[in-house]
Amino acid sequence: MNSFQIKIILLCFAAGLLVFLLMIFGPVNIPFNELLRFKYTSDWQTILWEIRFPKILTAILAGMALGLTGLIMQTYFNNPLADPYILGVQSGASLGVAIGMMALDSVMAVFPNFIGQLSTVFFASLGSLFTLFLLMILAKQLANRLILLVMGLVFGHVISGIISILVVFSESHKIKNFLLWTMGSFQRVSLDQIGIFVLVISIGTIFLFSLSSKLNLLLLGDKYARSSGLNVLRTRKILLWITAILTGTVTSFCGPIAFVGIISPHLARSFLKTSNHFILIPGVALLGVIMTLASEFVSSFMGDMTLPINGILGLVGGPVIFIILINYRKVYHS
Amino acid sequence: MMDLLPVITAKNLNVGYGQLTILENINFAIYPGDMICLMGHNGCGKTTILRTLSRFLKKMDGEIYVKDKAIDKWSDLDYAKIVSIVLTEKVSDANLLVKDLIDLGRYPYTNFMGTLDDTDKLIVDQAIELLGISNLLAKKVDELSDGQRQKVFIARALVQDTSILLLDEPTTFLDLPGKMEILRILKKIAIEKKVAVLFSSHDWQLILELASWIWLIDQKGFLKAGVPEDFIISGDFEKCFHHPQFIFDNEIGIFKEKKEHEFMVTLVGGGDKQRIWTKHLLRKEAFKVLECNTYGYPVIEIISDKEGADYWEISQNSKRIKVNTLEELLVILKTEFLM
Repeated sequence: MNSFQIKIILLCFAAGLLVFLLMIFGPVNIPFNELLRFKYTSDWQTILWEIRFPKILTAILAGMALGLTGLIMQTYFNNPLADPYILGVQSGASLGVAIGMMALDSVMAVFPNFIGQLSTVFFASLGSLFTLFLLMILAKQLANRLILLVMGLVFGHVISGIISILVVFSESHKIKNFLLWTMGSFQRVSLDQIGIFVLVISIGTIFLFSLSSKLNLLLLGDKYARSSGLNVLRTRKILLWITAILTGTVTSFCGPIAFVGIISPHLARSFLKTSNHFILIPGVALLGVIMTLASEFVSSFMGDMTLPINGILGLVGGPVIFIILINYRKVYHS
Repeated sequence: MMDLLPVITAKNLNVGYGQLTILENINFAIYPGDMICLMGHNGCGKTTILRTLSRFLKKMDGEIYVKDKAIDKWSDLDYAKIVSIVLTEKVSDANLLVKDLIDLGRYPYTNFMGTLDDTDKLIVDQAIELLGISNLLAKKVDELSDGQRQKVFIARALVQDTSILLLDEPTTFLDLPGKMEILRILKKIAIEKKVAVLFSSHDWQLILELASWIWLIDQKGFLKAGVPEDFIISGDFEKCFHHPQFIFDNEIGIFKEKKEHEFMVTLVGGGDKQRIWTKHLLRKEAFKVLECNTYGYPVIEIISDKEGADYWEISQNSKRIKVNTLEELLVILKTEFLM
């Protein structure tokens, strides 16, 4: 077993531990030895199966998808600070959801729950695809990495502008629904909705893993990639679609979640000490999972009060990004 | 060698980018095992030729045949098995390991998982051995020196197992031993692996020493192929890099700054080495050096003492000063004799 495998197993263990803690702790604590006995009272059955299980699974799926989209975007734009949140892709998804929730609400109410959820995913993916497409065109025009980040910021603000105008024209209960959604949470996905979430994220992840060697080639730059026989344009298009669908799905289910996308690839690279996507993809997925599970744990550990996920991630993520920036001084000087 | 088929043939080729044609009517054929250095002044189209052959630029006009097919008829993957490249630009990723980078060269031959089989591993090991970089494998690409990075990227191109290797200024940014080593490696690749090597370079003196065949792009944009020494004799080389302030020294094959001789000195005595480099310094500092004693000018005599150490003695009329280094010589000459 090589050092990479050991490290990946360590990460699995950490994630498993967090899952366990989340099962046990909460407003109702379930004793450790009772959990393993598999003889639950019906209350505990309900708590474990209908509340905690979907919550944990949602956090796992969101962490995986956000970490991986961050990784793809960093490789795609050759920019260590790229991620769906910073470059405004999640804002694009938000716009899709806002339009769905506020403007097209009456249309969507006609459909049953499953189709309704699917259409939110669809709108969110469309929104992120739109933003990504604009970014891709701009990135071709502007070689400068910093300008790309500023563009992402501008996108985010333009989209919040549009959303705030939508808010003015909407009814108050729709606005409340939407605002609650923007805070970010892993607790809104119910057991019957989670199937589609699992399906999209796992297909996306497996497909992405199969692109590992192509992603590795992209690290060398487009010229080397092309001269090694990679169809760069097609690969980039595929990556764009995967990012859009993963980001759209996570954002529509959990709201915009900050910092996981940018931080987990950095943690993975510095922990695993490699850029090889065959190792990075599992590593990033696991670290994303650990980040979301840990923040969910902190959020629900407060007993009756539930803190917003983005609040916790912001408090921890801000300083971490600051450290990343200091470490990448060299990159930005060149 | 001539019974082999050429890897690349160009007929009446025009290259350029956008609307701009840089070079017109180029004809050439590159055979396996050729090592060709592409030379010419800055902006003459060296990189444009290399980029056209790497298919980063489309040809403007004319024909390029790669093996038996027109250049644009190859798929990316098949072309990657014929042509590999080494570029001047750096790879910006900070954590990429050297071994991973070299393995990536096998991309055209491996499955989607990128797993190397025994043949792939053997080819990678051979390339690592040929370039002598086994000590660098665990390092990050970011940590390498310019020379080491160049070798690693040549190894990456080599494991791509192609018929031709294109390199854009592989010796730039390297120190002299580094430059020589890269050229020696390229020669080895051409001879041992029967790979055609086409590279651009500005290091004229080294090319004169190590390359047997060059392509010279002259001032008018003609591409001439031949032995470098021929270009010196015909004066093509001097014309190509002509600069009003420099003259070409036909004897040693380098460009020297033109000097208006301000002062005259006579130089006598000394062994070959001392004499050549004393003369070199004096010429650089705008002295005209006379070979025999002429009245009215300072005389510099190179003398070896009993222990074999050398010193210089400057004399004019009754004045006589002994110095131990050329640095001192220059100072004394300027302050004491040329007041």
